[in-house]
Amino acid sequence: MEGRDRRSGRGDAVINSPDPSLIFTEEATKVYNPRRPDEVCAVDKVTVAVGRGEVVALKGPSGSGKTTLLSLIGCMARPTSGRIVVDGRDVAKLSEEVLTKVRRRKFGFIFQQFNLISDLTVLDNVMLPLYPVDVGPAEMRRRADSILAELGLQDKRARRVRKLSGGEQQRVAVARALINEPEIIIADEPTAHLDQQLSDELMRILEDLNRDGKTVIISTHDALIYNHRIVDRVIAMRDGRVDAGDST
Amino acid sequence: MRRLKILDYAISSLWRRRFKNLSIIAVFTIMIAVLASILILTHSLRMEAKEILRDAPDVVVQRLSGGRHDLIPVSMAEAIREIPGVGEVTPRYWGYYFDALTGGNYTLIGLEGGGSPSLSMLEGGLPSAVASCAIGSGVASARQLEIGDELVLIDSRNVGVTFDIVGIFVSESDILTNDLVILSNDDLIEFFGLPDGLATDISVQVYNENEVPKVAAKIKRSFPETRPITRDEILRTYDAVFSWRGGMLLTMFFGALLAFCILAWDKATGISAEEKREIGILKAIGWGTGDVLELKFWEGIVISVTSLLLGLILAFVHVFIFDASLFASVVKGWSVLFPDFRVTPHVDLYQIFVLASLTVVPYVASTIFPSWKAAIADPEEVMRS
Repeated sequence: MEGRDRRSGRGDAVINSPDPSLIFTEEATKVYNPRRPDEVCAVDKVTVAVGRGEVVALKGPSGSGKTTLLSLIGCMARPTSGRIVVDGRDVAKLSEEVLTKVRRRKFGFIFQQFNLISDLTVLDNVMLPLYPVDVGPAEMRRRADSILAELGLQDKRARRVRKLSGGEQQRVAVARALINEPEIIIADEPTAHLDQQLSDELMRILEDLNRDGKTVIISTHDALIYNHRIVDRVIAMRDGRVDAGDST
Repeated sequence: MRRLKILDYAISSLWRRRFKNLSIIAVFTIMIAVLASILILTHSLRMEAKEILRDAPDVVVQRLSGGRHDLIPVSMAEAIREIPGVGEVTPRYWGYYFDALTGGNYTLIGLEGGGSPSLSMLEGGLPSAVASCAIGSGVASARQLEIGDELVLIDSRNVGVTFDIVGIFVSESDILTNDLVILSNDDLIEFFGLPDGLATDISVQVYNENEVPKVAAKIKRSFPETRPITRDEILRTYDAVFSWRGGMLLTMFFGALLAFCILAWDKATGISAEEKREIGILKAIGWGTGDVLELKFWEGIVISVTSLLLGLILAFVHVFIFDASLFASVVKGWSVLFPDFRVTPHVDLYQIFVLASLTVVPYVASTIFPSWKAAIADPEEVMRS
């Protein structure tokens, strides 16, 4: 994968994936505080598709709706209107219980603010998604240890997260996102709080994950990220809509 | 497996906020200890009263003079014995004695009146000769006496009278025998200077328990100047007295209870931004609403059940080891005039169940409700707020 331009030959403004079966949004709209003076339409009739195994970057300035679109795709929020189809199922219509299972099995989230529980140890944070799952404590530890070893955090497993550097916390967040062996990694501005070296390291990790068959969706306003060699497609957003002219 | 893991996480989560949670447990424990102490003490006293009255006569007939309890003619016993259904009828000789030496009140009872407790409670023997007595453990300890020692009391002529101690009661229930001094009837009549042919009251045994109220009514009809008191009436009086005193104490603590409820509600419902964020994180990484509520349920259970158990232990220690020193005088009332006594531990599971219902259930509910509001929201919404 390294050294090749995966975007070449895909044509302009391609927002429909070659394989739309994994994620597809159709006129997805998200309105906050509807029918109130502070009503905001964060995502406005967005139709995009993401194929299996793709790395897609959502780019756009702050307030353009990137994070909200990621939340809709990742089943963290329901659309006000429109459809969100994940692996052939319209998740907007699923019950809370089923939606939770979809979120748990399909998605791993890496947040801009890491969203770790700072008083817990690295190991406990990583194992957190497995508590409500029928996986024994020994298996939980085995999985967490294995992922922490892959990410070079094995010697930090007993440390409280708040005592780690920003880069280490980001890797813990990655480890937590991977513990459920999800199909899709969603990363919201994952390099916003990292220096160049740590950003490169994170992108290498994401590249490895993609090589293992994971679909990766990254939101960013950092040109170094959306122009990174691993990114297959860029979807540009502006004022809650897809800017077809700027998408690749 | 899943449930145990969530419980495990709940405990670790509580430990992370240990200063807040330990302070809630401390206040909660004290409140429960106070409430439980009142309930346990009043219940134990009621049980003591029942114990006292277990061997009491079915009816006690007192004579009233101007509404005041007065001595009753022994001849009346013969007439009562004629009433159908009546068994043994015995004149009783007894009276209270204030001991200026120790400041305690003793109850002096004549041996032949049938009012003395079971012999199985006695160490030594009952008085069989003139100028001998058996005493309760409270009297023995107040006067520092043992079997073989002499008990000196001041009689109605203000003359010191010496009695040889031949027995000391080791009652299973101190309240039953603690302040007793048992003398022979002749000694007691002479000691109090009772006129010939008069007794303190008359005890009446009725063959059929169901006939007791009828017999009492017949006695009252035949002897209008008397007041027949049934055992059930005495029991009801004890019950009412201890319930009233317990209720009075509960009322006194109502303000504190209310303050605690407000504090608990505030602590429990005031879900912090940090806790809200944590719920959002948990939901985002795959926890369901049910999982979050189960977590909060366990947190509430751990805090409230821990407080309940600690509160109950504190209450037991307070009531049965430290003699309910905080409010015994209010609940026991008259008995503080007696030599000190200890109540026998009695546990009423129903009361503990009620206490648990009034403390654990509201606390758990007040913990779950605000979390439920956060947990049913989309995780993205929770994390944004």
